[in-house]
Amino acid sequence: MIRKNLDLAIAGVIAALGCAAAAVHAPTAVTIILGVGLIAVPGYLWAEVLLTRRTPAFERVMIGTGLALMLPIFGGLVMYAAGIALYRTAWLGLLAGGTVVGIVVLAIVRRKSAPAEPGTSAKTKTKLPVRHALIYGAAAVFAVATIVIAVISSDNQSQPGYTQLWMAQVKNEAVASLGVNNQQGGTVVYRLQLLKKGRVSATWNLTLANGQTWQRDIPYTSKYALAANLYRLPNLADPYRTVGNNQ
Amino acid sequence: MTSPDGETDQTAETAEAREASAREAQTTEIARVPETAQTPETPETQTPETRSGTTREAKQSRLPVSVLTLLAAMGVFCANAAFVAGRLGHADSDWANRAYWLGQALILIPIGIRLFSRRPLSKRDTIVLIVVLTVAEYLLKVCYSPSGFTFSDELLQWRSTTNLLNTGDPFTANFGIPVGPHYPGLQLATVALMDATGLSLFSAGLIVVGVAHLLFICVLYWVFTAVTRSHRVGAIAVLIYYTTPDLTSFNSMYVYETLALAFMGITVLAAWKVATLESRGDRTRWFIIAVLGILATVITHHVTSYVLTLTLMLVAVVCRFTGSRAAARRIGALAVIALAAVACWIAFVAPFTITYFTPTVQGMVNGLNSLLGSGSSSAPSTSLSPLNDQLLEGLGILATTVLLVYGCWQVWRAYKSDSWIVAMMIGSLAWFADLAIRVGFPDGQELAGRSATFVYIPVSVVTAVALTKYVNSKIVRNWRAAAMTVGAIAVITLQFDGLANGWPPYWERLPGPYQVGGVERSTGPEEIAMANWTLSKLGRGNKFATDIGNYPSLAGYGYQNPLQNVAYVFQSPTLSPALVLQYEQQGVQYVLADNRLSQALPVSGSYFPGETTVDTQKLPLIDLTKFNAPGIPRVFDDGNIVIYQVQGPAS
Repeated sequence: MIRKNLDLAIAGVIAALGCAAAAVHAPTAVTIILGVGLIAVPGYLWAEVLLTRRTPAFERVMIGTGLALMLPIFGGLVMYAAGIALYRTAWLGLLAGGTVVGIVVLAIVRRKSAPAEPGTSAKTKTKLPVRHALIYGAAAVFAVATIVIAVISSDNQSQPGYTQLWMAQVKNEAVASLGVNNQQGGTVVYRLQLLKKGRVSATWNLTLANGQTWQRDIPYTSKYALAANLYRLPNLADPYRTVGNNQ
Repeated sequence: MTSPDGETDQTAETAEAREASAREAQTTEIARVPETAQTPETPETQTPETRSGTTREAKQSRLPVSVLTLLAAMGVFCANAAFVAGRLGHADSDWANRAYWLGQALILIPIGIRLFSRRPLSKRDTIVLIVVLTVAEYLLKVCYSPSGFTFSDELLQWRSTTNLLNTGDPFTANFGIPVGPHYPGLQLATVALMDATGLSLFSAGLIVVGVAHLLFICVLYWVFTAVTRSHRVGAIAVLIYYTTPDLTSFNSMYVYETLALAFMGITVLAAWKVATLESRGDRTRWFIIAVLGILATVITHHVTSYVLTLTLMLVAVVCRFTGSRAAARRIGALAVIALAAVACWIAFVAPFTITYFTPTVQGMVNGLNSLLGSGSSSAPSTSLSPLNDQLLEGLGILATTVLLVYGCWQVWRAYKSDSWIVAMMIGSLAWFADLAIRVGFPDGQELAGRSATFVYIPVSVVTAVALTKYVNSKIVRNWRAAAMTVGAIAVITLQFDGLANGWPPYWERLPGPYQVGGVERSTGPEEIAMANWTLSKLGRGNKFATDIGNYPSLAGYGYQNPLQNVAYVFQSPTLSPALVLQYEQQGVQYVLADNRLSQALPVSGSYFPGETTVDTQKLPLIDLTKFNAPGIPRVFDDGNIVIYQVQGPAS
């Protein structure tokens, strides 16, 4: 009896550990493993409830996976209809609840069902020859290496640099956000001039590291011309970027 | 129990036995099979030899499955090397493109030949090969953009998921795809995984759609095998299904259809069980699974749920006339449930769906009228594919059509009383409607590509029957090796056709630097940073006039409302009062002018979203800079992209 229901105990432990790990913000590696288990376990349990022992293993895996994907959809909509906002606590409650109910239902189903005929649950053990295991291992290494190379290559893809300049009115108020963001790939020295009615009213000399942003709020109006010219030093002759209200 | 393949039962056979059964199939043609046949690989039908047959069969094969797996992994590595070369600035070089196709060849050809071969292959090994093929192609899709979503539809779904994360409300508006939040299945599954594991949205999204895609292909194989009573024909049908243009790209992307397809597959499998199982208890269990699958499909994706409903209706009707009435009643009940679920969902949750599809349906009706009235299509063409790809596409269409006609004939001759195959045959006739859509309707290429996902399911089965019949035919019996080679080459050629004419298109087959009027290659750090800026400084939901390259970034990352059909805003050198009036009436609040549009023609054929004509001349710079005019604030400038505020911001 204990061996027959060992999977129920394991499912319960996985669900409990998964919820605990997510709740206490355990290290990512731990939460990933237990979290995947937390998602998968209800699918397994409900597949066990719905399918008989004669069902081929491949079918059980497919249906279990499908049910695991369905539970958050049905459960999420039910919780939303009940007025529960779908944040982490709600999801953990749903997955844990789905697991607990699944364990109870499956235990009842197994208790009611007739004992398995001898041999029906016998499993075939197929040994994988070492040579083939090594080849599969090499394939896995290739796959992992490919992903790693792809990520590194994508993260380090050279892109042309750019500098953002903006002057955007803040929500119908007499204030605008004036800002500069440097994405040139290195430190750049700028000069920013604010012009009112065509005359320089303020100047800022900015040295921005790559990725750095400078911004501040300035008085804004559409009654007279307001513009900002950004120069990239040493060129002070031609504005590098320009924004303004074009009055 | 004989299959079109000549297999008896589902047990693995020796080569000699298979030859004998093939000869038998020759003389008996394709035998009819009873409705109550068991699913393959059930313990009842397995012999001890089958269960332990894997190792024995592997010894008979010149290409063990493990070696094929390694070759596929090397193929992924090789194609990824081409992607890396593209990112290093060699996206247009011949050798990089050759490396990509070499990688694809290493994946497709060995597995294709092995699955097509008549050498015995156990069901387990067949499943392993199908899983390897699916995972390998999915890994390639991941390697294309391994750091974030870049495809436009993925960005739109990303926005819906981000909204759910931020608000806890799955129905939060999404301006880029207004109908999307009404079908929140993908978002719900992704966010549940994120909150359970702590994974990022990108990682969780990749896992959800990867699992869903693999599940769909596996279920498809299982259904094909169940319907044809042959795991070999089922495997060949999956191979043929791999010729679907969007299968390895759009149907494995982070879009709601990917998940819905898996649910649709489960529903069809469960429906088959409901129709064929003898035990009432078993039927009830599978009926519950089918209903769950129907509901999940309806919640997740509109078109998939409609196709599922039509499929169930078709099978029920065919069962009524060719098979058992009891089976017809059961499938009919599922069809009614599906129809009611779709109707209720549209009526109470997603009434916007009708508005969403109205222009598409109107376009199809107009195209049909034009086709019937004048005998020729008025559909504009935006296809700019190279001649090689077009020839391959033409060859693929011709080969599929010939095989389909031959397969339908075979089905009609030998399977008249088998409801599911007859239903597949009737469903496969949608292929010709697909062809008509391709040539006759505006956006026909895209519509045909999208519908191919569904149309190819029955087409694959019927053409697999045709191919199997062909290699078993008297004419080629004495030329079996040559016949097998021709058949394998045909299938693999069709697969390459699907890749060449699917997604990504030839002009961004390899990732690389920015391209004007592209999709993935028009979404880079600069565009994403601009989009993020609009959200932080302008707020959400502003109506933008922009080009096709910046459209997805603005809608996805920027949470803005970029408009369709705005080409007129840009295609004039002066800012006339009439133009101002027109864009004000359309509600345009901001104009995003990307100066790079003046430097090159759009690789996709069009500069602006909603255009159905090919732009043949570069956009003059003055058309983009004309907004530097009195009274139009210039709020953002990054050198390439300039944003003008032409009306007040959204409240």
